Order: sequence, then C-alpha cells, then structure tokens
Amino acid sequence: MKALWLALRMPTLGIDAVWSRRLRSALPEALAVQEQNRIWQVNPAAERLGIAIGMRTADARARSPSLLMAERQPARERELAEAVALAMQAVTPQLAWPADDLLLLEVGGSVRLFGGVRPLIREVRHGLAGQPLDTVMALAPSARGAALLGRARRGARRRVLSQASLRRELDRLPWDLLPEALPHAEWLDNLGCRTLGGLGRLPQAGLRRRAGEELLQALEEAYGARPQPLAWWQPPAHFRQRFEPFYPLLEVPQVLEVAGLLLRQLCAWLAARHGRVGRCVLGFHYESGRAGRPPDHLPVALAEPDWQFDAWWRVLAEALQRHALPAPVIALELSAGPALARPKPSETLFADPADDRDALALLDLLVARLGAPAVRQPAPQPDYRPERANVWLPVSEAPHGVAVFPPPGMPARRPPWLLDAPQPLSVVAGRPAREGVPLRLLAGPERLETAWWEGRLQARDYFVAQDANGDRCWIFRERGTSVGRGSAPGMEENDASPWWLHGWFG
Amino acid sequence: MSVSVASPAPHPAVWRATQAGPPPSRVLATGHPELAAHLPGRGWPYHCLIEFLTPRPGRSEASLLQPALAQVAGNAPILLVQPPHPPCAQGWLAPWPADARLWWLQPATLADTLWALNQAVRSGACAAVLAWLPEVTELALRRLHLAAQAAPTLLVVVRPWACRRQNSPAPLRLGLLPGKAGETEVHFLKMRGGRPVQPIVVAGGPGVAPVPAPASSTAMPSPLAALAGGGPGALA
Repeated sequence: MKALWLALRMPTLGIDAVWSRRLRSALPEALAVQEQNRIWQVNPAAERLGIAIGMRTADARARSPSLLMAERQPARERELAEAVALAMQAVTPQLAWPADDLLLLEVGGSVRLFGGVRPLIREVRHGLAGQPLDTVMALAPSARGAALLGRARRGARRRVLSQASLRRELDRLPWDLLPEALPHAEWLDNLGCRTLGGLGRLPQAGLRRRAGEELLQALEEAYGARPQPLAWWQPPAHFRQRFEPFYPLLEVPQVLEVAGLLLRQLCAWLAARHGRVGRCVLGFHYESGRAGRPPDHLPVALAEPDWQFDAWWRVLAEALQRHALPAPVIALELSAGPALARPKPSETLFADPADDRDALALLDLLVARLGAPAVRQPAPQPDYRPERANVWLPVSEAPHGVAVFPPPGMPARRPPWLLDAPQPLSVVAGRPAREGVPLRLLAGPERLETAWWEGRLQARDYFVAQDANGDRCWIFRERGTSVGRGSAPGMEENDASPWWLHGWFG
Repeated sequence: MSVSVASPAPHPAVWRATQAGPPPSRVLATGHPELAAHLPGRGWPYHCLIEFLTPRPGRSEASLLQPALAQVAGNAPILLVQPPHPPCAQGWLAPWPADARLWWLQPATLADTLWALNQAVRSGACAAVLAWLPEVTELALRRLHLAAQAAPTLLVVVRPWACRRQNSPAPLRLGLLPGKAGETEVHFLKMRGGRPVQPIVVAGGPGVAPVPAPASSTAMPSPLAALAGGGPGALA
C-alpha cells in the first residue's frame, strides 16, 4: 500500500473562531485577530490594507481605522478544529494534529476503500461541508510534503501523487515555509538560496555543520526520504459539538438538516471510539439579549444503545418533528457520551431468532412520537389487591425483563380489563345490580383479606357476575360491613352499598 | 404420469372449484374448534387485516383471541392500542409464558394512533397488534391492510357494530354479539375464501371459559365446577 497523506490546513482558523460566518455579512471587510498586542491572523481584505502578521496592534489601527480587531480565542479554535478532526474520522482513523491549524491524514488505505482519489476527496469535502471554517486541502506521498503544499501560496499545485512530482513541486516552494529554516534566514538569503530546491542542492556536510541536524531531517521528511514520527490523535471521551448556521433556523426541517450534520459527526466519533451510546441531548440556543431565551434541551434515548446513523436518525427525526420551536435557533449543540462498548458480533451461523433489536427499535420510534407516558409496559407488583398489583409504567421507567409476579397460590383468574377505581353498585332486592337490574353471580367467591398490616383491612369477596346484556363483570362485596348481609329490601338506601364493580371480562 | 387431484395438500395457489378461493397462506390456530371449523384455513389469517365489529367493545374479543395470543406471546411484543378500558396485566399475562411482552399504547390523536399502528405492523417486530378504533376511515383501514400484507403480525381492529354496513378492505370481518346468557355469538360478515355460514356461538364466553394454562403450571379448576358445588349458589 502506497503511503498518501492529506493535509487539511485551516488558514483563517483564528478569524473563524472569533466571528461566526453568520455575523460576517454585518461586519467590516477587514478582520484581524491579535494576541498579546500583536497581529496574529488577518483575512485577505486586511492583507490588502497592508496589515501584516506580527505587526503591533497600535500600528495596525493607525494604518487602517476601519480594521476590526479582536482577541484570539484559542479554546474556540480548538473546538472548531476538533469538529473537523471528528468529521475526518469518517475518512481515516489515522489522523495527526501536529499544529493548531493543521491536520494530517494518512489516506493510503482510504484511497482503496473509497475507490480512488477523486471519491476520497469527495468524501472529505462532504465531511467539511457543514464546518463553519475555511480549509485548504493538499495531497502528497509524504506528511511534511503535504503540509508544505498546504502552506504554499495561493494558486500552487496542491495535489501530487508520485514521488517525482512531489520533488518537482517542493523544489519551487520558498524555504521559509519550513520552520526549521527560519533561524538561518539571513545566512540563506546571503547565499542567494530562495527555494527548497536550492536548499537541497547545498552541500550536505556544510549544511549539517551550519544549520544542525534538524533542518536536514525536515528536508528529508518533506521529500519522503525519511518517515515523519507522528502521534495519532485520540477522539475525546465525551462528544460535544456545536453548530452555528449562517442564518437563524425558523422551521423544523431546517433544524433537521443541521441535526443530521451533527449526528453524522456523532457517528464518526462513535466509529473512532468503536463504541455506541444510548442517549444524546440536542441543545437549542436562542438569540440572547432582552428578548432572549435560555437554551432548551431535547434528550433522545434509544432502548438499546446504537452507533448507526439510521437507527439514531429515525428516532431523532421523530422527536424533532414533535418539538416546537419557540424562537429562531441560532445554534444547535449535540452532546453524548461516554461511549459504551459494542456487543460482540454473533458467533452463530444464522441470525438469532430471539434477537429483539426490531422490537426495541420500534419502541424507540413509538416513544419518540407518542411520548413516554403513552407507551406503557406492565410492572405487576406482588400484592393481592388487584388495583395495587396491576401497575403500568412508561417503558422508560418499567424494569426491563421479567416483572415480579404475584406470590404463588394467587388465583390467576383476573379479567382483562380492570377499572381505575371500583365503581359502587346499587343493591336491588339484596343483590348487586346495574342499571336497576340485579346481576347474576356466575362464579366465586374469591376471598381476599389483605393490607391489615397497613391498618386498613381489605376484606373482599370477588365474584364473576353477568348483567342483563349478557356482559360479564368482576364485582366484589366488602365484608365486615353490616349492609349487604341482610336481605331486607330497601336497606341499601340507608347506607353505602357494599358491592363494587371492579372489572370487565371480555 | 397423472397427478392425483385428491392430494391432501395441494399448492396454496391451487384450490378446488368447490372452494370459494385460496385459503390464507398462513394462519394462527384460534383455540376454539367450533370457530376454526368455519374459518378459511382453520385459523386467524396472517398478512391481512382482521376486523371485529361489536356493540360493546371490550366485552368479547379478549377471550376470543386469548388462546391464539398465548401461542405467539413471547419476546415479540403484543400491542394493545387504545383499549376501551385500562387493561389488567395479570388478566392478559397469566396464560402466557413468563417472558411475554405486552405494551399498552394510548396515543393522543387518531393520526398518532394510525401512525403507531402502521409503524408497529411494518416493523414486523410485533407478534400481534390489537387496536380499538371507534372512528376510522375506510382509507386508513385500507392502508393498514396494505401494511399488514408483508408483516408476520396478527392485526386485529375492533370497531363498533354500527360500522358493519360500511365498506371495509378486511378479508375477515366478524361480528361479535354478546348473547343474553353471556356467550359470544360470532357473525361471519365477510370471509374471503370461505362460504356463507350462519352465526355460531362460541362456548364458554368471557370470564367463564377455562383459561388455557401454560404447560409448566397446573390448570386452573373451572369456576363452573365451583358453581356446581353450590358455594355461591346460596348468594344468587
């Protein structure tokens, strides 16, 4: 496999970190970022005004009063570059971050995976599409070579595949792109050496004596004669990415589009960590100020942690469809983590029929649209009182697996429908009645005496009864009350009826 | 070489002229022999919409379906969508295996209900879906029927008895009328692949028919036996 390196340089990282692109249209053209009273980065418009890197801020302001300057924001720069690094995890896991504004990707294997250099570049562009910063891409057979091509002036050829063309392109570049050469700038200038090619043609022994080993090593690394030692970048343990679109998001479909971008980054992060997550939180940021609102959060959870885009996307999209936007969204933030270990692949030859991924995926989908309280699972309690035993919980709260069943010896005959609260029945001629017609008792009694330890003795006799329509119900008589024992008609008017309707058979 | 036309199991797409049409390709045993005798394929058909029409929803369908559900209950969930009363977990789960899953869905709107039904059926993850839909258009039923075509899910929709005059795409429409004596009278309103038959009475009826017990536990004594013993007779 031929080594091939892709360098991603972020030439205006400092400026992109300070001013989001959304604000850029409302700003003056010339922008500069300062650090410790020195100009640190300028955009092309500022460059045209004569502002140079390293200039003192007072001089820069004197030269051009319209220049907009701001303090450098290293933390935000890091965030932006990390987002690019995460997105690039989808291209290759072998990614180094040797300088603040430079990413180096070893893509020799990825060229084969994506089927050529062009599809690879397309994939990289796809990953960069949502990123709020400018990037310059360079491709070369050596890491340092790619980095140098990425730093070359505008218009230079940046993509070379063969060793020979790399040599040709590098020979033309000025040597001051190589940081190791800068301490010897005066000497090299005096020699009349202008390019890397000229540097290479100098006698090696003399160069080693005058400039030390580092410059020679750097040259050899650039031309691919010596490998460059690089430490691979490790993605962070927690995922947290923020996206600020050019314009405020007013409609759910717009939010969906941005959420899709963030979700792709989450999946790239999961791929890099070789993990999966069961829960992520989508944060909505609104305009601050007098009419501002604090950020909203929309948690999205899967019953079974997953790492695939489609599994997350279906649930996230459903949850977003239900989410009302109270105000225009200026930024979306997706956070998740830490990543859990993925399950081992099945070792059986055929798929396990007991695999319940389908059912759990359906559950996630139902919960995302209907809301957790609308999807319930039984969580039967070990209690003899039917209303206490019959507990239904939202699936998010219900215990997974087998619920506790009533104690052994409990008669299993329970109707399929149980009323929320027992309804009192009237008594006609000493018998329980519905709508004035006495019920016919078919089966029973089933005697329950329980809850005496709570100080409220529940003594009930349950019967299966049938009403005039032929419908069968589940009724009980409270024992221990004087009424209902007697068969004297008219007695029920004096006191509450001891008969209660508690369920329906069906 | 001649092929015997009287072969006991011809190809599912081939049927005798005396039959009204091909029986359903896959059925689920009903557990009620007198009902199975009249159903084409002798069971609840898969890959289609089954419609029950009943004047008082909840009063007869659960006991009619319970033996069939007990066979398929397990890891694949059984869904109760908008039941007419709060379901009693023990009442449903008792005859089922211990790992059976039962989900109770109570969507807020009819649109959500239909969406949930569609997702549940299309996913193919559910063993059975029982839905109580008092108000639903024929178009929605037709879509549900389409969704059910490919799914290995028993789909039963319970609607009011008053809807029996309306058109319906369901190949099997049964009217369930609770008789005066508590039994369930089954009217065969529409039966693709079957012949017109008179209404039948399913023995037992809800609440009194013996509950089919799982193989591991002992069968419940029939409450009718207790009745014959004279216990509650004194009360009546």
